[in-house]
Amino acid sequence: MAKLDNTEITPKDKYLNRKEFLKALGIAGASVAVLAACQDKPFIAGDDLPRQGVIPAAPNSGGSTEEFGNILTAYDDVISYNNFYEFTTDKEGVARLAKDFQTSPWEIQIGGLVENPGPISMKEIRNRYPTEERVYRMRCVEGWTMAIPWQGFPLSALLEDIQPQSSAKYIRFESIYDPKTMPGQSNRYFPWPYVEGLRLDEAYHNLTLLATGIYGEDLLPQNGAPIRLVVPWKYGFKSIKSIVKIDLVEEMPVSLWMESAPKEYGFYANVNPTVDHPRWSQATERRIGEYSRQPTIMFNGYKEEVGSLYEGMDLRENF
Amino acid sequence: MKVWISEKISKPWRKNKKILASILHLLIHVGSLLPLLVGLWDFWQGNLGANPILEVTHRSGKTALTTLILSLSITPLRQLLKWNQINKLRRPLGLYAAFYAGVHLSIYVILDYGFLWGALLANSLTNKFILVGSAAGTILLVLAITSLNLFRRKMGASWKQLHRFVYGAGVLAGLHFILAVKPGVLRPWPYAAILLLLLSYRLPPVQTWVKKTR
Repeated sequence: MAKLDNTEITPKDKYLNRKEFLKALGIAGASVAVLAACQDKPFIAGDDLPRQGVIPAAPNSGGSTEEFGNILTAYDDVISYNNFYEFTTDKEGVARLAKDFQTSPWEIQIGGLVENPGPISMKEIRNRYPTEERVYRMRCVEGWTMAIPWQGFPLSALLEDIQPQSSAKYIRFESIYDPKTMPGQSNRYFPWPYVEGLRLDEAYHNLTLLATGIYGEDLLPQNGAPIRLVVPWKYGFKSIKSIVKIDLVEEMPVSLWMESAPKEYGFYANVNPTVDHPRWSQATERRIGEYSRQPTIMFNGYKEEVGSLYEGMDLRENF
Repeated sequence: MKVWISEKISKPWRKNKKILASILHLLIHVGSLLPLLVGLWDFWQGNLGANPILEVTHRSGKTALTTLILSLSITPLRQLLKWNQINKLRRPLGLYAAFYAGVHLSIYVILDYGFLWGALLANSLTNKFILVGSAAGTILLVLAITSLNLFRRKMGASWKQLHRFVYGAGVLAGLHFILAVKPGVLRPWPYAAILLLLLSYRLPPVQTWVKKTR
């Protein structure tokens, strides 16, 4: 269950970009369906199916695959297919609406149960915390997934500086609230601002990242500029964008999604193929840039790293 | 004055109703085939964005719903405008709705899930919107087949009763869209509002009122 096997790695000469692939599809016509139907490993893409593999010429993008051998999602897709309801619920409309979003100057207010509260500016953050590249899979609760090279630093580095008090059990994040520049925030169904939270041990986990860039470039507004959370073993909505406030708290924070749809979204939101969302089965997923579905892996493939955090917990109950 | 205006409009209106209905008939064919052609073109050109399968799923679903809504609006328009010539537009619109519903379903089963029947069955059991959508699609398919004149003649009065199921298809199709999106996503609501209006028009008290005012 832990790892897809190595045959997943597609030789570079087999890559086709999407346009070429679509043309090939067009020529092949309905045979795609036949191909898909004839695979002996039905959930796993056969090697005979070409992968979309546009490796953007962004600097410092590191390797071209993640550790399971999956191709990194094309930069163009990462910056044009976004769930950011503060702008719009239309994933392909976010980039345009977010184009002029002001991300400088920017501050995060640190507060709650910490020894060192107060504002910290992006400039200070950039000076104080050197970034490193981390390639993570990002699994959206809607059933699609990307592999993204982030630039960021572990949240634990920040936590060590702000020093949570011993009574602190959770960390609570808040996104910017600015309905003048974020048209989606006029949708009153949602209790803005966006709120997310982690248990403190999840927050301290080495995989938990505060990201400021992707593909060696600063984050664009649609990706949560200037600073966002990345928690790769949880559904994408946990990875809150454009953070302006961080509080350490004693009680479990209520996230925006928990408040707007408590039956659909829980606090933990760990990627789990065996616990279905009422709207979607979570057993399979589609990588952006590919056509066939893949099996979803427990904790998005990070079970070895994070499984121990949830030992003895009923993950169906704590969804 | 008032009489003069209504005369000035109503006279050419009465004269040209038939021509206008024919123009509309042509527009319906062009307009209904356009989404298919544009979809194929965008597919060919790679213009379907980051998640092309989801994109064509959404497009075909919206086109099915739109043509279904248009087919349900023919009778109210006919009655309110006393425009009997447009009645013949009902069948092509209904057939286009069934066609796009079929495309929508095929994309889901073939392109999206590649005939993974196990996963498809699991989806049908866990996701209400899949069940509701399948029911709407089934109704449209049955109505499309029985729209042939052969069935119409053979079935007699029961044909009309059977084809009243299109109202059920309308309710289910709207519900399918609402259940498919996250709460707070407003995309289905304009469709749902129009559907509600068109279906309320069929309620007996409304019908009594319409017939009285005619």
